[in-house]
Amino acid sequence: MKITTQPLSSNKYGILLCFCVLVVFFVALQGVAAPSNEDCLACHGDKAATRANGSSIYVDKDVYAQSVHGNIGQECVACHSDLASVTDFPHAEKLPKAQCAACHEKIQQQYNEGVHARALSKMGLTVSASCGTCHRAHDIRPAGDPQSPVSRGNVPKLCAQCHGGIYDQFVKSVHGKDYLAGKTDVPVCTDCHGEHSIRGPGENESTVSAKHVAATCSRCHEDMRLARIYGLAGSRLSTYRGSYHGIAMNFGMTTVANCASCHGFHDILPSQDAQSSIHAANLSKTCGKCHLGAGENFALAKIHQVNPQADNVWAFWIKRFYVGLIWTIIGGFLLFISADIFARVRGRRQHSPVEGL
Amino acid sequence: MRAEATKMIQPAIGDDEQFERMSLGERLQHAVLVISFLTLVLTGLPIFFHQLPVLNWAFSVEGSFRLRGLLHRGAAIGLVCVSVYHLFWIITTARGRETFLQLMPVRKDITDAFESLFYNLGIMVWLRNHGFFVAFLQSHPYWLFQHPPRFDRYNFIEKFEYLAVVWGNMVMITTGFLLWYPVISARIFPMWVYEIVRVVHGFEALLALLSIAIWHMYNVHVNPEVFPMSKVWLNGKITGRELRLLHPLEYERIVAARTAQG
Repeated sequence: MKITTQPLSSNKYGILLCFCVLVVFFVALQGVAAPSNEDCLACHGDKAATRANGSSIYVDKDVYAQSVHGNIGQECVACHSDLASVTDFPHAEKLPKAQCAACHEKIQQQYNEGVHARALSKMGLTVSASCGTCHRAHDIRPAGDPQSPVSRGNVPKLCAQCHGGIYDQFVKSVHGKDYLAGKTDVPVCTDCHGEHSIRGPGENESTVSAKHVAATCSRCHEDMRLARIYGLAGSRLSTYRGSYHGIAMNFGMTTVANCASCHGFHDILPSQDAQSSIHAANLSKTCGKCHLGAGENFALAKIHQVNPQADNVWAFWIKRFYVGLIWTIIGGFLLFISADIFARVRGRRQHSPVEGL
Repeated sequence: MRAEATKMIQPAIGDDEQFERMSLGERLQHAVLVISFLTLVLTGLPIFFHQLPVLNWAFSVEGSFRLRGLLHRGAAIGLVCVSVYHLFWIITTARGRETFLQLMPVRKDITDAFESLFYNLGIMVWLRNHGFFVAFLQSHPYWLFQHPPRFDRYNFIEKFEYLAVVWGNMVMITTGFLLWYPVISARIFPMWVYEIVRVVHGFEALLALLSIAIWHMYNVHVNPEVFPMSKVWLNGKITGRELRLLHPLEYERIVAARTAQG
């Protein structure tokens, strides 16, 4: 058989060249085909696989599938977006953090304003909470899911990972005891402090700042439903607002007492509790924080007066008396003034320095 | 009768002659009282009417509420000072004692008030003209109130105002001091009394403001006798004509004194 080797004609070279250019063009246009979840799991699905330092790189694909992101079929590279264009595997060990902000832009902004972000960016701390600290990574679950670390039942324990001392105070407080008892109405950390944009109490915008703490507490303590269920005294905010403390606070004088000044915050206890800052025996000490030398008589005042007549019968009747007195005296004035004008209009006034009046 | 008497002694005091009604010192007392009272009212009423929405705007500037408190206490010191000065003025000066005694209410002030009211209303004359109490009023012409009361240096209106200021000052200074120093207050009495103090301070202030705004302002500004304003508080002067018509008893005393001197 005669084998003829024919050189490729320049025409055929041209066609091949065009094909190659097109391939390169399309590849360049589409990018390198991003690694699929299966590609990642080829390594990360191996329970034995470790980094150079021995730490596991294992990702449980069933756990991820049940997470809020796996549930809707998010690709690994949706969060690990810097790996989408990597072709050389295994990829570098040190990678940028998952880019939550690509989808959760507003929450990222809130977080950036908060005390946890500023601890890193401004205050120079090396450890602070970021997205994954609270929400975890591959098993992120919605806050409503009891298994989520940010669910109501888990938030105090979650925060306690860093703020353990506060957790110890909290669980001894009236709120914390009910929390341990499994009551879901009880405020957990986030109910007072907020979530992503948590600020320090010294910051004006904070939900627990002197200016805003009354509004924060009264979300429950001005709530009739909760008052009925738990036997809470109602009208805590309105009675505070009417006091000098409340009035001054409302007009921007933040040095006056707010809820926390007297009741405490993480360690709030009911007044019957001997440990409470508002227990009768402790009131002079509590009031004395601002009113130096406040004696025991301070304890004899009812601060939140819901029913004026029952709470301070003398003040109630003296107020009534004054209202009556004012109407009587002003009424008398108006009677005399009206009579004077009446006489002048009728021209009866004779002994007046002004002619005819 | 009265008109004749006035005519007879008229030459002793000319209509244009000027008399001192308020000395410079008295006018200064009044000025300090005005300034401190207005400051106290302006800086105090926001507490009483704290629910007014306009106050959120008024106190929108940082630190303005604190300034309010400082001004209130500063003006309170001014009021205490003028009150103490006034007390010493009464005790230590002859003019002070005389003025104070002339300002004290007497039985005549009560009858003056009734006579003034019934004279102005003219109700008794009206009743007689319409056939009521004709016989009684015939035999008791006083009850017709056909003449306005004749006043001395201070009439019942001025005496009432003075006593109201004295009373109001005592109440406001006492309660104000207790509110200023809650710790001292709590040493003196239980804290439920403090609530009463707060109520009294607020309502007494409201009463004072309304009294000044209605009663004092009518009598020294709006009243046609002095409209648009009696200038006594500025120049301290009163004319012989005003003296003769508004304070006839004082007028007659001066005339009598001059006549006696010859």
